[in-house]
Amino acid sequence: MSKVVKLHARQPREEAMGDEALAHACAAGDPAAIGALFDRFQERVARYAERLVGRTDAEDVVQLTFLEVARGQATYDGRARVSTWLLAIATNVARHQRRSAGRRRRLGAALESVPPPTSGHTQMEARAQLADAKRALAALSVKLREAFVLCELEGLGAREAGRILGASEAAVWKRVSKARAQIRAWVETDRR
Amino acid sequence: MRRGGPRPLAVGVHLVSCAQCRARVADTEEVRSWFDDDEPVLGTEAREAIRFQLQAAARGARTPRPRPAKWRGRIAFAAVALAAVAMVVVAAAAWWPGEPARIEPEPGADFERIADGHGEVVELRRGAATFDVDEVAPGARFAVRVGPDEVRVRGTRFRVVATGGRLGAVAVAEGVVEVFRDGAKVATIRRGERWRAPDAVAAAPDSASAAPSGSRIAPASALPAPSSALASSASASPMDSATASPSEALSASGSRPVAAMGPVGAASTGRERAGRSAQTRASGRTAEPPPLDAAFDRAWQAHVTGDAEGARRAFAELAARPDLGARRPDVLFWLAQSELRLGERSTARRRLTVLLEEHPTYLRASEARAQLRHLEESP
Repeated sequence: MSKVVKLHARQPREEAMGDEALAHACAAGDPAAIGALFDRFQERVARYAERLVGRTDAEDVVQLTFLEVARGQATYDGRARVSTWLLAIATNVARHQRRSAGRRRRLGAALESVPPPTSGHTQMEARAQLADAKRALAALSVKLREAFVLCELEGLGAREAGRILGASEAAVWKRVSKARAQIRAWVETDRR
Repeated sequence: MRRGGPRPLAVGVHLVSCAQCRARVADTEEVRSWFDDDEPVLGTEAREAIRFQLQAAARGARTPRPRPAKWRGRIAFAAVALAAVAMVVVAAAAWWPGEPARIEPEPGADFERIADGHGEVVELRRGAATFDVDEVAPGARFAVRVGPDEVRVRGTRFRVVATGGRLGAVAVAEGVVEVFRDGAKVATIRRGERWRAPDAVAAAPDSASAAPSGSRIAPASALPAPSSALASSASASPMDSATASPSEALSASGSRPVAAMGPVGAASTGRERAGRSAQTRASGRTAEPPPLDAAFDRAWQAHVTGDAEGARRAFAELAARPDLGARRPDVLFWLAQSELRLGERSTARRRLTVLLEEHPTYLRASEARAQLRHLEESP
């Protein structure tokens, strides 16, 4: 007679680790830790990258960001939250990406490619609004876009964002405010 | 939708009475809401591909991802340029008589270089040493022998640890080496990998006798940038918080370093030219090992595990030592990092200033300068 044995899925050690412990484990070169770090933060980094460089290049930015960590080129030192640290790396990677000629022109087109709504009037409106907003974001200067995305969409404080961008707190607020005004103007002009 | 947690009570109270601020907040939240998007940016396939590549990179493997078409032309151009440079280098190498292998013995290392017409063999009797060997000509050889074991080289940079008169561990920073035990090949170690005898003692090179049998290769997690030995591998950090490991270490279990790679310039007294017709011998002995490497690795372990206080204490003890030598800039830098973690900004600032005054060309000088600038700009 066969015996039924109940199997309990063992939770991998990395999944139970806090963000900081995971980042330290990555610094020690633990491949499982880098996988877990990626699983935990890829969505946030990808969303951030998409807003900075557009959907087409976001994948490259995400890949290069986490590769820097995997290769030990960037090691977490505990002075900021892990998410902030990753966004800082992504910011630098995106800046390098952007340097290639024509990137900015392509960005506009890339941001326009918001998937069409599947059904429903409200969803269609929301999609149209998102497309407008993304076009407006793409039209901003790099400085304004970075500050706006970090503070308004990623929820970072001006001080944290300032550390990433190499700017003072006041400068960051100024950029965010200017960016918001430009986005509103763009979207409202589009609607008219 | 509000990001960044609940609004402070005082702000809420103010908003009740201030129409202007209420309008501003409404404006901010409306603009934010335009960006609400549930569509995932990365598809499952892209996610899995990146995940695989990350783990391969962490293991030190190289799995190049196909580049978009726009890169192909550039890569082809770079390849042609590289090939041209390589041809020039090969031609120059054929003309140049050739540099001997460079050996950087660690404190306590006892070795002997034996050169003959076929190349060179280094007999490492005790301790650890790092070898930097240029491309070995076809038919020639360069080998490191530890008792009956041997590491054969074609041109590489690697570190060998002798344990109890046998080969204890090998870590390769560049190139490929083959490990032989009792005359039989047991492993081929590539760049970024390390090998150690499974029963070798981890505490320190040659600290106990061992009777090894078999072997184990561990990916060396892309061999982190060491203190000063492999300075060329340093890379720019994403912001002033980004750092890299200061110590190239072999590890018994993948977590505990055995001994850090010694600094460049810890000069060997036994430098010999290979390729002589008559067999010659030269030996190099250094003083008994002070526990400098062990202390450095303890401090580093405290740093990477987030024990800022422990790291600060350990690095401060190290900084007070008179025998730091080439390790001094590393110790000052990491001491400053520990102090920064503990919020001791003015001490860290002074520390970084001293570091830059004493060692303006230090590997991490630009990072230290950036931190110093940051500390000065936001006191």
